[in-house]
Amino acid sequence: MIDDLAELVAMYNEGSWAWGDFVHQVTLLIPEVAVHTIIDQLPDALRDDFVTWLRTTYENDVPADSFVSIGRQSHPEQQRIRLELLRAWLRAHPSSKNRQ
Amino acid sequence: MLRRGDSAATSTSRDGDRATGAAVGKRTLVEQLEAPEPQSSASFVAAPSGASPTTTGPSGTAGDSEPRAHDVKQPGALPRLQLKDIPPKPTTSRDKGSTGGQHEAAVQRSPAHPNAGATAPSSGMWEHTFGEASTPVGKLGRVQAPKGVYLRVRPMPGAESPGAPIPFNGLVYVERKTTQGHANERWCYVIATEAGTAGFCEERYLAIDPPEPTAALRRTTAGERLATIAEAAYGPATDESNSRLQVQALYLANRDRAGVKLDHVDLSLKDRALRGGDEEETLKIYNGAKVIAGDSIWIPSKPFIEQLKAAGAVTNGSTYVTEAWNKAKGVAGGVIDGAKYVAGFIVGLLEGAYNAIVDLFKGAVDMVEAVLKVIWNLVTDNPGRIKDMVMGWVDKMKVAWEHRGELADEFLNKWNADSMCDRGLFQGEVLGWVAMTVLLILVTMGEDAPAALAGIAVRWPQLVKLLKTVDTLGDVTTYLGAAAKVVNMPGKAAGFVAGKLGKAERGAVRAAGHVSNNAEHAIKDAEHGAAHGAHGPKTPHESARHAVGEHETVKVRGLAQAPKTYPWTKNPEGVVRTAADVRRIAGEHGVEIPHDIEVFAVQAKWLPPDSYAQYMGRDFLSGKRVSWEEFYNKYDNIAVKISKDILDSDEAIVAVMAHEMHELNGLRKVFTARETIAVEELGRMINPGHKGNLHDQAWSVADTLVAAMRARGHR
Repeated sequence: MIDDLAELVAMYNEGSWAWGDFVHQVTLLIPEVAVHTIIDQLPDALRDDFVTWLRTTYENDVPADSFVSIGRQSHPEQQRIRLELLRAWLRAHPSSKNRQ
Repeated sequence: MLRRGDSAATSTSRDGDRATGAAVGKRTLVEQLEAPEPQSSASFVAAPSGASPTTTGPSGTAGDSEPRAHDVKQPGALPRLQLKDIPPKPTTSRDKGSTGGQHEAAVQRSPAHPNAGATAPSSGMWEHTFGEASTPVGKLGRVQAPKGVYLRVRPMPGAESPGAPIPFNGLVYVERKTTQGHANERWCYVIATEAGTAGFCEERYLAIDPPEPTAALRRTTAGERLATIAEAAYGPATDESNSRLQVQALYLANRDRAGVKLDHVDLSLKDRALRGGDEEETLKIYNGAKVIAGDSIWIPSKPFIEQLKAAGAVTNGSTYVTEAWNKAKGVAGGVIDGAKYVAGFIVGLLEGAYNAIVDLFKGAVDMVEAVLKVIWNLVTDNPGRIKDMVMGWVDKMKVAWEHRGELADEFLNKWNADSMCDRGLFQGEVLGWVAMTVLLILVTMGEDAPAALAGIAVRWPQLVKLLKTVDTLGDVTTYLGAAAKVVNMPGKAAGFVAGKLGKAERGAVRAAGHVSNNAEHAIKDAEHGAAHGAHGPKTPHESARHAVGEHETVKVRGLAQAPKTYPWTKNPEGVVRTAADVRRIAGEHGVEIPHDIEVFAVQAKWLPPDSYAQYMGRDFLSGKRVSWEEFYNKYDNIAVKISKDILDSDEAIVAVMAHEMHELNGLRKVFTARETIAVEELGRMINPGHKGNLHDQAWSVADTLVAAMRARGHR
């Protein structure tokens, strides 16, 4: 597993992150780390929940600068790039519900 | 979250053109005062008959609003100030900023209120004051919170409150409110007319729109009946008819409130009673009506009851009841003229002050937003104080206007309007404008201010006498001088003012720098002794201005704070603490850390740039409602992550934990009262850049504890 991702997961498991903070922090690894790499390398116990959270949060057309950042300064341009990559992955991997 | 180098620095942003957009289309006081060239010959004339830009009539272009629902008359019933040779421009309701063409998109995100007031729009002003969408209310009310309510400088729990709480039953004028769906979530901007101040409070603490303007609130106790309450309020009834009148008035005054119920009475009977079908039965019912303990009910005033009595028996039928009630309301309404005047004055003052900024920076719209960020909270944080100042000018100005030839009758008519609300509104607008203009000159021109005032006088000769007579510069210096000294105006704005007033730009920038330097010295004095064995490579951003994007950044020192105790002292002999130590050390120095808080020491890379700690960091979809549960980790604790970089300084540990815990403890209280809050509101509470919010307050708390450590000689 990528070092930073492994460290994040370990921190989450020891309680350093609330779920929402953890998954958001994982997305901050993008674009240095590819979306599919992150999803592939997440532990099984977290992967489905992470993807579900991705769909809930980003499977929409909300502009990057319309998200409200809490506890950290927003960087709309970086956020825009992340969103494009995440949404591209989500489009390429429609949920089973959507496929039906 | 506590950030490294956190400061009040704010920059003009993508919404930077909102206020200016709003302002552009508004005919401000100066636009009305400013004469065509040659300006010195300008004189006031009344708007032509029929063209008077009033807003109350059905023919009004933009202000054809219906009368307000309550007794306070439309402020805009008075013609607007009009200059000769300038075509009358119909002004809109001040709450109808979106009706005016080019500034339609301006500022008011909420739809205009159909019953809005009628002076020129200052929706940009309200946008800046609320920091979110708001909608007009324009009604009297009273405080129904049993222990009173604090008026806060921002619409958020825990925001600073400059004055004492407004007590239960305190009279307020509710000017506007936020637009959330439920009253429990809405905030109101109110003027406490008896206290003579203004600010924000939650709508749920107010009883808005009394049944008659002089009605008061009364707390109720278990088992009370309307009959006994009526007797306590009005004295023993002289006869049965009188008794029936009193209890029926009480019932009618409160039938829409939760505080009164009719026991063992079916609806049809109640309806019959309201129609007055059987007066004997009616009396019986009203005497039997119970009130709910722990609530409050309206008590119409005795004079109102007398008016009601004079108007005829209440029980003569529902139509007649309404007519009699409204007639009595109109008569009783005169009793609260003073309250209307104060309310109008403060609202006018805000409008005038806002207009002054717009006026002074007319032609430089990009600066208006930046200047508002610097200056606006000087007005809104304690409008009562400024009101006290400018009201003192009113009497002085009477002397100035003995030579009233310079002033149009129209102006004086407005100044002495019969309607106390109109009078207060106009006087407040004029004087607020003057005060803000002087203040702007003071903070941009520094030591050159007196000369700059002369520049204004040349441009607007109508104000020469006013400015000189009321000694505005002296008063403004007295009242606002301390705050003004720590205001750093953007250099471009200072230069613009200088140019506009005919002064050399270089001189203005120098003067602005002078003011800035004074502030710098003052702060350095305050921080004297703090920098021993400094922690961290550099102090937080202390420069007066930073270039951000295309705008310069502005900063108000001492208002939105940075940690004054920074840099923090490192531990002797290089002692480095552990995460377990953090809780103990912080607790020993007065930081309250509930049992469900878990502290983690993490590498700085897991914290946002320039941050020392974090307990929540994520993005939310706009409009999302956040619950307290979302702060918790999977072990049902709230993780507070602090940077390992601060473990070598007990001062830093205390400061950082004090900061984080002040925010978290404050949020815990909020979430105890409310299951969820909108993410936007959460952001305003704990993100930087919102003066007086939990994040801002946390600096003061942290500084206090670190200062105490130093006082005790902690090493």
